Amino acid sequence: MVDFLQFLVAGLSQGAIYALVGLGFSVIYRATHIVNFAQGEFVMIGGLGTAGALSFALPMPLAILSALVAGCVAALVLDLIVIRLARFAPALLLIIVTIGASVALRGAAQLAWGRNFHSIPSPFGSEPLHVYGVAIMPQVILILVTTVGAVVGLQWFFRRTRFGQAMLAAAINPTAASLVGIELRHVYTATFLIAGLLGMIAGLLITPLAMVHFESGLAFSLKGFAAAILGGLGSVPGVVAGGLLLGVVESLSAGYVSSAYKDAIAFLLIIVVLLTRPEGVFGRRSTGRV
Amino acid sequence: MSIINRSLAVLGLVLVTCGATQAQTSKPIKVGVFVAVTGPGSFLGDASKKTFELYTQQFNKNGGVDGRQIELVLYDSKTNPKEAASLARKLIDQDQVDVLIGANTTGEAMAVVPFVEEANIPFIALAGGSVVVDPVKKWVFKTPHTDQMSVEKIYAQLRKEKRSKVALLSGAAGYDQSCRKNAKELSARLGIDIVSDEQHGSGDTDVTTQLTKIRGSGADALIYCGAGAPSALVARNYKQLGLTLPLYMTVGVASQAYIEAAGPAAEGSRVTGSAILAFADMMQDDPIYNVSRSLHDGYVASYKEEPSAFSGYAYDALLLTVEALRRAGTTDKAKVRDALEGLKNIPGVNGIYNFSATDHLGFSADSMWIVEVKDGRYRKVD
Amino acid sequence: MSGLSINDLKVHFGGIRALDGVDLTFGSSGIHALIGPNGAGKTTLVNAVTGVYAPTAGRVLFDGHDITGLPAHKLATLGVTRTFQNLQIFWTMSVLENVLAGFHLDSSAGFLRGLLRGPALVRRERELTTAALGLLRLVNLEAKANNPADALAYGELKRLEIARALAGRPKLLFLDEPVAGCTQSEKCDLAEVIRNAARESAVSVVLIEHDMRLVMAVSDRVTVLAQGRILSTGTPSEVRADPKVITAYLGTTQSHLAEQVHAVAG
Ligand SMILES: Nc1ncnc2c1ncn2[C@@H]1O[C@H](COP(=O)(O)OP(=O)(O)O)[C@@H](O)[C@H]1O
Ligand SMILES: [Mg+2]
Repeated sequence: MVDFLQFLVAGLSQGAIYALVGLGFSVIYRATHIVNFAQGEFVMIGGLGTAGALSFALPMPLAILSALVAGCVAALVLDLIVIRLARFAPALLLIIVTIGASVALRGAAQLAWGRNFHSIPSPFGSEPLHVYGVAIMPQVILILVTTVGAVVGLQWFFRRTRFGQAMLAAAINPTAASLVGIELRHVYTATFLIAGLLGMIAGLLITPLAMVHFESGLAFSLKGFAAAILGGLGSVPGVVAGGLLLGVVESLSAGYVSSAYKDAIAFLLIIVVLLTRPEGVFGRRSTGRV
Repeated sequence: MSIINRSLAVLGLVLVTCGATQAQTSKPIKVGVFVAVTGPGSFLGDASKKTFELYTQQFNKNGGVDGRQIELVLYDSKTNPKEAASLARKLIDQDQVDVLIGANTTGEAMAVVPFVEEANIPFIALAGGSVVVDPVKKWVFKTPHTDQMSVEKIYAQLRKEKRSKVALLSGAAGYDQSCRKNAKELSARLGIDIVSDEQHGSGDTDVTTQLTKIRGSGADALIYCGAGAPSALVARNYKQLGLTLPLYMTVGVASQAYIEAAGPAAEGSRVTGSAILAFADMMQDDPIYNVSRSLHDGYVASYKEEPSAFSGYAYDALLLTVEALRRAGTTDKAKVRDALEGLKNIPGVNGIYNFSATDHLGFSADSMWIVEVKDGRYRKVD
Repeated sequence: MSGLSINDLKVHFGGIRALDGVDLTFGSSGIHALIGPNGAGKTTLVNAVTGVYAPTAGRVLFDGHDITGLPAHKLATLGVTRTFQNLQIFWTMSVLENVLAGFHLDSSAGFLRGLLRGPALVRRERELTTAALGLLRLVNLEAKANNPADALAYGELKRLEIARALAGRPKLLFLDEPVAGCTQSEKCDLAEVIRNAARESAVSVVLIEHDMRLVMAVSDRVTVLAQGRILSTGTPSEVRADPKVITAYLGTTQSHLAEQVHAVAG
């Protein structure tokens, strides 16, 4: 039982990170129908950027802020390139462009922060809490709480704010959206910024537990993309559930089946989902009409 | 980085051409090097590069090889076997180097071997895998301890402590899997029982699940078969779960970077590697004390950091090259190779080298130390 | 000068001169029909004015501002909007939500609607919903307000688009074949809707239509376009009597259209 709970804690905390990265994929995909494979790089920028700033003896809030600024600049540049190309380039090319962008971001990160792995301190230290024999890092609780907060905030933004609703409308039908006065350019920019921020939040959350280096983004991209596919690219609760499911399935299969095959089992799950429910476990079936 | 190196190399070429008209005999000896300055193996390549750059200079200052200067032509192989192979070809064909040194990872070394054998050029590999020299290849030598030696050394220590139930945790990389395979193969022969065999993926950010399983496996020692940064993650998760069984790491971890990355979580963990890791504990009468000291003091003075076992591999490769060139008295490749193979009783940072026609590694697990992290430093374990 | 004024507008697609020098003005009220055989350039004209196509040459002024080539969202802020010949609906929203989306530019909605808290927010939402329901009543869709948009019939969707367009309080509204594909009774409904809209919302409507009965019944002015040029413009009776129009229509293969013109004219 203790072991099971320990597996669950690991699965949920990893899953929450996958969910945040997956949400980044989701918001960009919804608005632009582009799969942005540079998504994981924002995790890297969030963690590495903060670590880099800390090494200049900046206080933590300023260090985080500087990483966020760097990441937002990267998101804006990505938005500029991708959306400009989107006018005439086919979707496949745009996906390749995002892969190219991720390579470029990795290169830039290497120049800026070097090749070493870096970590940042957790605000709650490195001593675990012990709950009924289960060791839980306070940072894990922060991860879960922040993820819930980010999801609630995102839902609030899309449901309750005029701009959020405009983004939803533009995602459903860009032509109709511009007819009612929504400026698509702004929507796309906001989309990339939100996706970037989600990735950087994930990076800030995971770096105190694990370490990141300039090449860490790729793994996050893959896991986040898998979470998004699993949950159904379009829905916020779906992607969150997809991320948590992926994390827990990985952890439980490592715990009870084989840690050598945990990734294979997770991958198999994704294949099965794609074959049986292409819209994702929690995704809405799309209507026939487009 | 590599652009600078390339420009330096070009500059070198120009100087060579100018110099050639003046004195044909003092033409420098060209040593071609490719190391993983970037990529996943950069924690190895970085130390190698620093060592090559520092000690080529040093050897030259001390008169080079019987008056001839050594010219270093160094490229970044990006931890990529294909890149390594094409750089090796470039070094052989275009740069026309006399000796080839490089390949921080086993994959890179094996990719280069065919070209080396075709070109008949002496090659000293910096990679750990025993496959590089087993079976023996005429033109290929290597300096690092192997993962197999690490495992042998750890098993010997465990038996001394009357422990026999081992849990393995390994990553997905080539080094990790080779270490895991050796650990399993050697276990029966050395009276060790593998009670748990867990693995993690290359981008994983959590191994608490694997460690929880290991906690319940009844193992009385944990060996992590891995290299580089994931080892710090293992150490941290190990501490978080409050595990008490001893944690052993192999030579893939043997550098100060591990202690820096894992922080307080590194305390108490044990690492196999060259004696230089715990230079402070070396005895003056140790046959490799002097050579270790020369690397240690120079490295610390230049780079303000402790040299790792990986610096030692590069240092020894350079040292063996110089020694073989001196004995051969020529840059004739076949003669240099013969001289290398004939080197006996050469104290290096990693051990005392005794090459022969059947042994291109030249030392055994005995030359290794087990060190333990105490107060942020490696200390020798007896 | 109020209303829309088009000066020497040209749109060429390679060799095709879809619009070949059109001069036209639409007043600030009333219904102005734009008719002409298929391929005459009607849709192209709307596209060129509403920022879908960049004109090859010419200028478009609206209320004295140069709006040539402005994108749709800018035009929406100036009060120029349109419906499409093929539908542009927010499919996954409800009927009511579609109309609410049309209030996007309503400045009193505030930049962040969510920042209005408590009673103020509730009141504001109720006001917008009431207004949206009013527009749905205008287009006879009030009963289906809470249906998903993708459950509506074709004619209903056309009306929904008009209601959404009206939500933005446009000054000028282009309707590109709003009754095409509708049943006869739906057509009558729409004629009514368009007339009511023009009257109640004080919007100037440019109506592109093939159905001559509808055109002649609702329009204040009619312009006939053929091969990218204006053939005739005037009141319905003037245009009906214009010999050029009759010959043009008789000369085309679209005899049903010609018959219709005849029928109405005779
Ligand atoms: N995007 C386009 N590319 C090429 N030709 C076009 C395009 N749009 C319209 N046309 C051509 O312009 C002419 C006018 O078309 P259109 O304005 O759709 O006519 P209408 O709406 O009056 O039926 C036609 O010959 C049509 O083929
Ligand atoms: Mg048309």
